[in-house]
Amino acid sequence: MIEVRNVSKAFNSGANAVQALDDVSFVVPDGEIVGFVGANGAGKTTCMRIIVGVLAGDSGEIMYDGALIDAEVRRSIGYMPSERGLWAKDKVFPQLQYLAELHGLTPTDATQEVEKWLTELDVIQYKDAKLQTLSTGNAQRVQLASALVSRPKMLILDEPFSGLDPIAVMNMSAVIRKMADTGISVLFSSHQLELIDELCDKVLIIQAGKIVQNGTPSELREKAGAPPTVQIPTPLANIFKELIS
Amino acid sequence: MNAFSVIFKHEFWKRITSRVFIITTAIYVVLIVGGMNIVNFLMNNYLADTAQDASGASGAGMPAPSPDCTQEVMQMQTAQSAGDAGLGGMDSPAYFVALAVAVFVFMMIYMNGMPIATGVVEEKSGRVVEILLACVKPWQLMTGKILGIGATALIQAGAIIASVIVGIYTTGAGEMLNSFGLDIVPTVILGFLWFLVGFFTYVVFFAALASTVSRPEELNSAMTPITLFTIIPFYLGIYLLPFQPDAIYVKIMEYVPLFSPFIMPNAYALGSATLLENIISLAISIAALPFFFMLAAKIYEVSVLHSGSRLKLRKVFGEIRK
Repeated sequence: MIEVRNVSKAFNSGANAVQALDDVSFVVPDGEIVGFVGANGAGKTTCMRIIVGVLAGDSGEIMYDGALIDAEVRRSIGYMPSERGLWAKDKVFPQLQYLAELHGLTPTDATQEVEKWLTELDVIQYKDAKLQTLSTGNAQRVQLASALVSRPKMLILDEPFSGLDPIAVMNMSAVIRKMADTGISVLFSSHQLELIDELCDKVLIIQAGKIVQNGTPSELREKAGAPPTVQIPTPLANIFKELIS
Repeated sequence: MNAFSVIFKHEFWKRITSRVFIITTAIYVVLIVGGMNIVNFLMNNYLADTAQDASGASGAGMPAPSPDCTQEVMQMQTAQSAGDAGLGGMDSPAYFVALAVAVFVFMMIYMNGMPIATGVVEEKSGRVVEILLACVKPWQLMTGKILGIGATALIQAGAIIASVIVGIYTTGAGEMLNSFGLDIVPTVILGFLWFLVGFFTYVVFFAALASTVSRPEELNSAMTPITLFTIIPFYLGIYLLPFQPDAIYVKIMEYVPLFSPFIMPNAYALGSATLLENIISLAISIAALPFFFMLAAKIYEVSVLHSGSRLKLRKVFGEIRK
């Protein structure tokens, strides 16, 4: 379980100071998918960067299973940043292998994990291709694979579905659900609210660095007095998949 | 395996299997061995002609010049230029050895410092650095990269030195240099040690300065300060030292860490610094390495996640002071 306790972070100082996070607290329980929603600049990415240790908060604590998170635990976080990035000129397989080993896996285990996730995400045929030769969608799948190959205990995914076609979204959300079902805590941000609604066990809404709402999708709907959702019998993505298969 | 060794292994293999590294190392080996033999052949012809001319001028019927005669002619020429200025002048064998050592140190720093800088910018521009920093500390990433590429630089330096030794044996240059009072073995060993110290003194700044930019196009401008810092001592070592070896500012620079890698080995080759003085200067430079490393690691840590336009050094130091 990841626990964010009273985390604050400001950028710049004096007249240019920006309070990116203001006393933010929330919990991501084991086996749950928590959606992080907010406008651009609301503080989602800053918060995620602080959890993974890329940025340091000005105050507050990040806990994992009741203890302060340390470097060793941080190595077990699978992280997909909002600004996608791997080595464009390198082949897919070796760079994923390197990342897996960097997270503490033995070379043999790393090879197994890379094979497994490239197969699962349907990009195994590109394992010897240079990343820059892949389409945006396939590169994004490789990027998700880079977060999964380390046998993570938690997943922090910053807008994992942006720029993907509906089938890729379905495929990737199924993978994320499968990971959560194994007991992994998942925190992901997205601007695709229908996806948040469909995939998340809990939703956090952040505005100007503060968590303004926190609850399950139906709780939030009730709070807002919104009418219940109407279920469309066959989602358009399924029809699309049928038509092209 | 800990994160540091994984980074070291990754950087080492990436560099040593790169086409650029293999081809440039092979070219250097061929150029050095081939070049030394060609120069030796041309010099022997020139010196034999000079000796023949000298004997021809002193009268017909004189005996043909002995093999030692060519060496005597060369020694005479060297002695003549030695009188011109400083330590044997710019055409003395000692000067050429000093020049070769300085060029070697300079070339090795540049040839292996630039891949480190390029690697840092590639990781920044490709945004992969954020993923890496989620599981390793900035200093681990920087050190792993420097040591990984440094290990390949060591192999390359070894290949270059080995080809110099092969060149010396095949041309008989060792005997000739010894006859001029040059101790070639300690000169080569000191050159190698100064390369090691100079390499690690400078490349930490290649990595640190590269982290202040986000695009490969900006790399050259970011490297300007360190380029100046290598060129100035390099030129001082090859142009100032031979003519003013005892000047007080030269003597001071022989012990200043960023200058000494280019000045001390030359001073030894030219005979203006002793082995003991070299050892003392080496010890000072080695003692300064942790300080340079910590400074570079701080610059790297502050700059590596910055994106956008180039970070000014004033701003970087302001952040460090916070």
